[in-house]
Amino acid sequence: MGLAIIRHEFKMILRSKKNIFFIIALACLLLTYIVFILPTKNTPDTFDAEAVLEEIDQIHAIRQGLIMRGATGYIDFTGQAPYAQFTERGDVLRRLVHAFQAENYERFIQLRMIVPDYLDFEPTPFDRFIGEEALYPGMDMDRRITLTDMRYESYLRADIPLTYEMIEQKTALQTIVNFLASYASILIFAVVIFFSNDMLTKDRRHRSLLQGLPIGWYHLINLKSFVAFFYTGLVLSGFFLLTVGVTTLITGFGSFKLSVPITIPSTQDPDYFGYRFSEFDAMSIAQFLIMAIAMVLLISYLFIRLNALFSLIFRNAWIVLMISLIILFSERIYFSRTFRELFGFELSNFPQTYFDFGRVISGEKYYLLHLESINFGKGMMVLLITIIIIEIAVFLASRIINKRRFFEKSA
Amino acid sequence: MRSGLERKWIMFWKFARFEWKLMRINRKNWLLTIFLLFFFLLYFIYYSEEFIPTLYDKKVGQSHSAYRVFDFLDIQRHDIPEVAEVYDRYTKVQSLLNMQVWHIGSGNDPEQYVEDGLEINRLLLEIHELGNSGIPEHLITPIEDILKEDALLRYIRDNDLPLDSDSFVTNESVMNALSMMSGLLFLVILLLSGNEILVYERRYPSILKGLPIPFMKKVTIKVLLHSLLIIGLLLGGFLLGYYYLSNRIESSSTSVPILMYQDGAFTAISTNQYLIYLFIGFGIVTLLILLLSVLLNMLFRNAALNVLIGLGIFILPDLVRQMGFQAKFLHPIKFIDMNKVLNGELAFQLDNMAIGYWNVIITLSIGCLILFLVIYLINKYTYHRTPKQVPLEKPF
Repeated sequence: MGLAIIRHEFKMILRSKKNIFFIIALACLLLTYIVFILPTKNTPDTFDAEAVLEEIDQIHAIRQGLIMRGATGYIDFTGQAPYAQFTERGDVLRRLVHAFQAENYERFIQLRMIVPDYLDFEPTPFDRFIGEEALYPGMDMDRRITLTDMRYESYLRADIPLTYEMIEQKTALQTIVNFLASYASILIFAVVIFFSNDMLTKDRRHRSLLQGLPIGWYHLINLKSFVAFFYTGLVLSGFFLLTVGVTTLITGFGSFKLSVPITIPSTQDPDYFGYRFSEFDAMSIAQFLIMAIAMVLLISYLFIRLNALFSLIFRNAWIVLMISLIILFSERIYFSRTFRELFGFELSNFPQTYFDFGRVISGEKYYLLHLESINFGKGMMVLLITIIIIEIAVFLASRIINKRRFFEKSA
Repeated sequence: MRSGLERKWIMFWKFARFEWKLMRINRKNWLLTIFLLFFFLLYFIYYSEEFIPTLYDKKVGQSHSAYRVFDFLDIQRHDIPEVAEVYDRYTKVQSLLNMQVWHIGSGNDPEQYVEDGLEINRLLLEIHELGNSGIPEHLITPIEDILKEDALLRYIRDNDLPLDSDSFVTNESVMNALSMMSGLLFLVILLLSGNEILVYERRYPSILKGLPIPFMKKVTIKVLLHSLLIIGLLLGGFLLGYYYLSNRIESSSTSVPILMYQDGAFTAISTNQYLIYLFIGFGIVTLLILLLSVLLNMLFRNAALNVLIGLGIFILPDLVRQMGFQAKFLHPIKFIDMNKVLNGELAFQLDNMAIGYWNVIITLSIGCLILFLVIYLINKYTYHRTPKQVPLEKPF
């Protein structure tokens, strides 16, 4: 009986007009992005040779002026030597442009690590962070430079033929990793919710046919959840393969030898007398992907069971969709870099903190909130405990709202 | 014996009551009701605890960030003549900004504050004409902001409005809440509200197919009822929130002007006038989206597709713009975000100066009429098909 139900359910979910159109829409969106937007998009690492040449001209003018005024020495008070600094910057930038035009990307990266041209100008590089409610813009800036440096070092260490797409982070693997490591990854669970929001309620339209199925109510809910989970997994892996396939054709596959830079809490012991600065490390792409997949599976399961619970309580697919989406995005309501406790408990004890799993794995979440307890292990534990609570709730709900009450007549 | 006309109206009225009852027993509408009623209240309760900068704080911040510009100008100004000219003007701007901080703070001279502000804007526009040479991109004041500030100051000067450091605090939170509601969130609410507008009837065909009322009348009643509900709830929720806010913050005054974008320029209007314009706009957007829902319901007969396709249409212009095309004929889709239309953000974002409030209202009204016509024609067409072409079936 169980197998027959699973087969039936799978057929239903496969032929659901809603799901098919959703998949088509998503595929169109994805392909448009990969084919039209990604190749021409400016990433933070995009090199603009024109702008750099213009800067070189300006530096030349400034140097001429300094020579004319005889101001080529150093400043007594600060110990800075503007003339020498401008000369060095101009020289390195010129070499950078040459390396770029000669497509010698190893040299290009080495030079770029000396003069980070992706920052606007050296004197006060952290201005741009002031607007983003950064408490200590200088620290954010340092972190950004360190992470970029580590990524560039991993290019040099990887010992593979470098391409400009790799530097721009546009290859297939990098696109996937960057998507997973950003807040946008939370959209995966919006897809999960959309697929499973009507798994129980759609049966209420065919009451005469389905109410009498000779199978236990709780068992039936479990089977339906399983089918929804399996189907979602199938669709998501399909999209994963599609993205990797098409991106590989356009910008190249990338390499597993590159690494993902991560932020970790200070390793100094807690009694250390000074400030315990964050530290940085690198993680291989494979390791990152495995951790991400573990989190995706756990959170997807959580939402499917949550949908089952809400379906029992509200008996309307649209209410289930709305409430689940509100829960999914609930962190946005209070999120701020200085907000670390909710109802008197640390944020790391709440499951919604881990819904944007990529930022948890890469340590960005820890860094933004400055809460050392937010890490992968704790995330898995909190999510597992949440799942156990939801399981108990689903079991109880299926006893209280039994089949007869669920199929009762209403609008 | 009742006359024919009277009988028609009785049916109209009876169907409206019937539809109202259907809406009432639908749980989805209850959730939407709760959401719309308490959205603004919760928003204000939550965000009124946050620190909202006063005018004085803002000016101090502005003065600080303007000061940063000198770090960049100073080293280049001796040797690059354009930068020297920018530098000349910027020193004046900086001095006036600091004077403004004095006038709004302990100096207590609002009139001089306004005069200085106008002078700053004139200088900043001149710097824009010089091409902002030497100023890094993230420190350039956008022309949009300069024009806004200018219109605001002129309005204050012409109407002799009182000005103090707290003037704009209420205004700010109201605008933030409205800009959060307008646009994507409002669209999703409307699409969810309208997603079963006709499909619902297909579930109970034996009862609903035989109702003696013309299709177009049915659609009119449904759309009107739904939009009345949504607009009523939105207005109710907003008033509830506003009541809370004005009790909470003492200095709430509706005389503080808000800027409205029209014909390439900003004009300052009072808060009340702005809100009236905004809610009229919301009303038309509601009608439009509900009519679109009816059309999508007729074409696809699926509630989920309504939401999906509606959202898809909304993000289409963004997608095309990301691809690098400036497709002007797609801009009307973005008019749905009424708050952005009113405050001019959309016009600058899309780089289309013709997006003013009245143009948008007219365009959206024409859109409503076209949708209504299309619905009428599709319905007519399905009636005129002969059984030879398709089996005789009344779709709704």
